[in-house]
Amino acid sequence: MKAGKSLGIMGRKIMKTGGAGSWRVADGVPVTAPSRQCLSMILCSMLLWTSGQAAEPKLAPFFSKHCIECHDAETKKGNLDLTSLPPAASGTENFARWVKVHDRVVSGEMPPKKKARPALAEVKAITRSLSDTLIAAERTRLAAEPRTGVRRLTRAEYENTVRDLFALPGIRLQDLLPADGSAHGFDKNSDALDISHVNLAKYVEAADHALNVAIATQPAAPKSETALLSLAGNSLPNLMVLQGDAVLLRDKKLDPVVPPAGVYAHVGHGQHEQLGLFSRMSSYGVFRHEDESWNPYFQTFATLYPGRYKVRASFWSMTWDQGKILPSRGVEAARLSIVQFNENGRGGGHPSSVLGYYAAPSIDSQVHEMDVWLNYKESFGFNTASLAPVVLYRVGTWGQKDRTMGFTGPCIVNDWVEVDGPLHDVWPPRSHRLLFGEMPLTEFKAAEQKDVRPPTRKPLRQEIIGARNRPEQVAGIWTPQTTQPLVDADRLLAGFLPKAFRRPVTEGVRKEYVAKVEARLQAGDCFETAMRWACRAALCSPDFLYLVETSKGDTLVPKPQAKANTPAKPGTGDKSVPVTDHALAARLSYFLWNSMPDDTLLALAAKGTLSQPKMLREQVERLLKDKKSERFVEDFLGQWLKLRAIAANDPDKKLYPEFSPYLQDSMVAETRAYFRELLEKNLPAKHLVKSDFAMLNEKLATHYGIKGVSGPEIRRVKLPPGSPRGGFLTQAAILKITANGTTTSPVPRGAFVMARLLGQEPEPPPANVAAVEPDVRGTTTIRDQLAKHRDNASCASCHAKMDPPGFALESFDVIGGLRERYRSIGDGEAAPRGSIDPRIGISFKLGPKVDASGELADGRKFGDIAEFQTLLASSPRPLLLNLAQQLTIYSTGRPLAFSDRASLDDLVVRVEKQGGGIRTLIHELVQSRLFQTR
Amino acid sequence: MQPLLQLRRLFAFAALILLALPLHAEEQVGTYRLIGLSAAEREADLREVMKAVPDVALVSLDAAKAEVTLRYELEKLFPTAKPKQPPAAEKITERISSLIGQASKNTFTITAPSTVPPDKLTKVEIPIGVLDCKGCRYAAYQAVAKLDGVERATVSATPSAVIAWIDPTKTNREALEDALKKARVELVLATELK
Repeated sequence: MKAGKSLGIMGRKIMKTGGAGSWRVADGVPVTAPSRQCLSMILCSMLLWTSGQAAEPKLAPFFSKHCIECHDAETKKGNLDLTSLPPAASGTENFARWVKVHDRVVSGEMPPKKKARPALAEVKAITRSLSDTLIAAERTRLAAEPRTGVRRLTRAEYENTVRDLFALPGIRLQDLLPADGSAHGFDKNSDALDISHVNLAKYVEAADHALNVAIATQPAAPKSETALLSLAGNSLPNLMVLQGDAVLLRDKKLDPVVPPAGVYAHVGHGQHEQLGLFSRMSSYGVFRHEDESWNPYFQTFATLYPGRYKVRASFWSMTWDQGKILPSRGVEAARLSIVQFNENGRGGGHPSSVLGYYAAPSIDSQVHEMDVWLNYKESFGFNTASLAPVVLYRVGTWGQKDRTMGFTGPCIVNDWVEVDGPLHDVWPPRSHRLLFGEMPLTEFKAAEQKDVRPPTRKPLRQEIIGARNRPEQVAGIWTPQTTQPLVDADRLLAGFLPKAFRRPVTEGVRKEYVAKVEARLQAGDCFETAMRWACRAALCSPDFLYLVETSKGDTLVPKPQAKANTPAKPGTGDKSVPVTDHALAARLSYFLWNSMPDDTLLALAAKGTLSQPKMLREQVERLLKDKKSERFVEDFLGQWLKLRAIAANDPDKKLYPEFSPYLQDSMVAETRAYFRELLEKNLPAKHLVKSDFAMLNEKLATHYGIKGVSGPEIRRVKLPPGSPRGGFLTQAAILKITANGTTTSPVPRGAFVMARLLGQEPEPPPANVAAVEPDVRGTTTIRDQLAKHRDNASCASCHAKMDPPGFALESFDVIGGLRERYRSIGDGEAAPRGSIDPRIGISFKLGPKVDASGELADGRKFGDIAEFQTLLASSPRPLLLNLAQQLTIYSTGRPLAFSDRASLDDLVVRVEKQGGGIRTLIHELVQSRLFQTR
Repeated sequence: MQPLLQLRRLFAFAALILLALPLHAEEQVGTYRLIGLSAAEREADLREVMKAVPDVALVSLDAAKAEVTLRYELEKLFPTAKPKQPPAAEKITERISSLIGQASKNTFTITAPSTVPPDKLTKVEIPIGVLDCKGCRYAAYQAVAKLDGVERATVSATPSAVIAWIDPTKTNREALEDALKKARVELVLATELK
């Protein structure tokens, strides 16, 4: 018997056995042959099964007329058999498939172009009907649970929260915690934020570390000292001078005590140091870029007291011409980084983070001043960021025979770095006061408290070899002490817990923590240890670690809340209730600060006025203007545009020798600054893909072929006519993230544009289809390879949508450079140097020409990237809608449901009516039910 | 007579006081062999260093012989020593050398004067590549000065050479050249000199 067309009906299967009218039930009992309309009715009833709504008569004829022919059990195009697809309400997977059916019809993709087109009115009616059914089914499914699950803080949120709670703005905690997962594009979703015993152990460790830094252990603030640092005097930098990669200078002239290495190399590293030749605070000029064996550190200083420090650094640059000091080619960039020394600081490769890139102008020193938080064992690292990333200016490298004296090239000079601190405006510090209020630190006298264990103190000492700063000697053990510990504990915890938990805390909860204090006191611990015990417990409790959002009317929060001002949309069946003002405060601050709400937000929440539209608008403005909103920009872009993956691969050194860490950091800085500019200027969504300005520094401008930009600072630059730069689409960061370091492929780039900029997540690739392998020999282009790939029918439909944006981006190489020819490492024409530094060797060749033309799935054609940008920018609605989606998912910690679409559309329409600006979008999102309900 | 008697008594009293003082409270002067005088420029370094050495004064420096004459008070160098048991000469040399070493990051030390008669020493001159740096000259000097049998050494800038006076019974030119090569000092061959 030939298998035939069938429709599943409540567990029974109808099968078409052969001829047009011959049908039987799968168990063998014959039935009357159903008409096509009858089949569709069955299908319709399936879709609506359990939805509780009457069948929509429009569905049946539509499916029968336009769908069943290809999507039945026999043909099953796209692996979709509508005749056996279970009802939407029967599970999330089936629901998703029905959503896809809906979306394909709405977009006009289905029925396919070659088939008869249904009338527009018919499509509208059908999709509305489908939509209503799906919404009803979804509401039923979601009614039992809140949309936003209870979730723990991400690593970044945890660190920021502890920083803000204790006023320790630079304490490092993220690295102590396991990495977070990601769901729906972001790490803020409860699906991604599981917890294990490993997390818990790490939270205890992190809480201990935070409390160690927070609690003061001496009666007066450590004396602020000024350390004047020079790279000369540090062992490795000294060696570099002797080898010829650096020179010592004084007053813009050579320091004669250690002349530049000449025909003969210096001998006796140790003997030079013994004679004190490097201890004269000489300026230090460097020719060599940082590399695997050369990381210059200021190791004569290593922080002992975590805290705020004022740091000043003086830089200049020159052209070194075989012993002569000449003006430099322009403003060079010096990088300072914060280095976290391991163990005793020996060796290189200690973890570090970039503090900043600083201008080093020609000949004239420029002093830069920074307010920096330093942690224990941290110091500074230096790099000649803007110099060519080539290694060793030694004999033979560039043909010179006389080492430094035979070399001509750029040099960046550091005169000194001055570190002043720790700076305390109050003592004990705020972190201590949060835990112990105004209680004074008094000396713990063991003889007078024989039954009490003193607080644990680890003697502070300088562990870093070569560091000259030393800790103060503090006699005795100093700690907050009291004669009424439980009364004080209750008072102090009443202040601490609501701040830590970001909401009012009931007396019962507070008493639980007081009981912990009491238990430790009874066990013989001193007051500090007992309080520390309770506070550590609070920092490891779900109340702190989890974002507990309550809705208005829930009983968790004791204080009455103001009446909800954003009632559920009438007639939608939406029964969601607004969250309390405290939950709203937390949601707002974790959205725009990636951290806990401050006192202002908590006070407004306590008054119940935060949720008032005017107040919310004011608060959003305040939060966005605060420096802490940089955390939002960094965290959101890190995930939305995947900036976190910028260093996922290193470009091939033969193909892209001009790539450097400075270029990579500039790329990230551009994307962040650009988003900030869109926010500040409230620019519309078309700027996501096309713009007349870019945020550039000299490094990026050179990379982009734009003249007239000098120095390392990112600034707004008007683009020359015809420049494709500006929007995210053509920013080097995005182009690097979407490439693999060796070659580009239109597929991942196209998929990125579809998913991240247009909000159309492509289907995952089908199994058993070979991936397209890059050809770095340059014999075939990726377009040729993809053409073959699309011969596979199962690939063609997705690639028709995905590849065109990728084709347009073929105009850019793996590091975002504009290209007309591919680079290859095989045979080919010699490549012109272009803007590549003359000190960088070039071995790559020119490969085939780039073809950046394509045709969008809707038939619109483009000849190059500029035309593609124009096409995207001409219809900004999908761009704005996608950004609204991304911001909603990010800010609410939940995926968007099908039933959210109408709200999202309303939101976008409201934004468009106000000019379509990104800042307006954030305001409207915060005002919306999407944001204010869970 | 009366004033004369008084004067005698005064002298007797003074003599008694002087006798009561420990013997080693007297200032002493000694000549030592100086280690570390790698080149002429180091003479100034030595004078600076000696300003920072407590209780020892530089009387004179004979750079050609690499010898220093120092003045010191034993009581100050050995404050806990018993008055009637003055330290041995070796201990005194060791103590002064330690103080000079501390003040100079051990770039200068002293030892007892050489016991080898000057006419028994052999002068060795080894041409080297240009060492236009004090630190390099000191490194070259150290490479040979530490060898057993090298009684004194110096590094000349013009012509660029290491000059040493050696006890030929203990060492030879080859040993010095090997030590220099090991210290990465480039030797200039006789043919290159021409």
